[in-house]
Amino acid sequence: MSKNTLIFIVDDDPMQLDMLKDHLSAMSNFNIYTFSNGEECLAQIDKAPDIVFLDYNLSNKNTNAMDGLEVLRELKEKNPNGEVVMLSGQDKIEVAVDTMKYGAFDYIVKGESAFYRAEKAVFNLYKLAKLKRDAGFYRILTIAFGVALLLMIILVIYLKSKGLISDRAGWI
Amino acid sequence: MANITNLEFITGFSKGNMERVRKYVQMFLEASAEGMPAIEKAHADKDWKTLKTAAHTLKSISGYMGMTDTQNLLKKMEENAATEKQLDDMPNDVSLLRQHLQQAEEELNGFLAQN
Repeated sequence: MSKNTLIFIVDDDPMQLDMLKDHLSAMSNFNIYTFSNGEECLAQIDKAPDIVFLDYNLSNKNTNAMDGLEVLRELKEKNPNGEVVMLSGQDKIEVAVDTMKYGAFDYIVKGESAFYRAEKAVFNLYKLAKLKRDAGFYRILTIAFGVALLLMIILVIYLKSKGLISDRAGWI
Repeated sequence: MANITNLEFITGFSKGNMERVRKYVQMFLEASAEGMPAIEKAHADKDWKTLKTAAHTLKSISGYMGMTDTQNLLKKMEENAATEKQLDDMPNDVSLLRQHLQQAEEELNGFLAQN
């Protein structure tokens, strides 16, 4: 995640949408896009957002609209490296479990503390991205050491076969 | 009569920026003006699914206006509509909600006129 982290916010409630956008904009120089439904968000998925804040109840105003879970599934399928944070007015554990099952990074219940939680989720995602980068670096380092060790073994076998080194201690 | 709204949270959230507070108050008033008739129509039609979603929408944002009693009332209405239980309470709840939102509208319009 870079300084210009791309964030999508999807909510059919204009007030929630504006409040979260204003709050996140005040945090950092994020590039934020807002959508009032999942279909519009998915149409822009080629922008590969780093984080999507996604409302669970997206079919309140339009009953034909995709619901949050459907959008979550498509987001994870089409943009697997992006993280999704679900927002919901319901503090039901089964809803939270469902969203996590489909790959959501976090689940936030709407209310006064939701904005602080959203901020914390962004911070945690930064930490996760750093851990992933570090893990990638150590993986490459481990492979490089493995290859170097293998080359050493091959060299020793080669030198031994040519009689240039022996098992006996001391100088040849 | 005690105030039904309390703008302490929204003022703190907006870091004292009155333009932002005004924007959120106006958005709430618009949502309320849209939500109350939707709830009344759904109640008249006994369309509990629509009533549930309309109550759900107003629930969170009424909390931002410090309307704790209204939020609790909307939560009760949402749950009763979802489960289709205690529907005998619904006429009184709808009427009480109308009173809450009317009072909130007066208070918030008063705030907008002064700020």
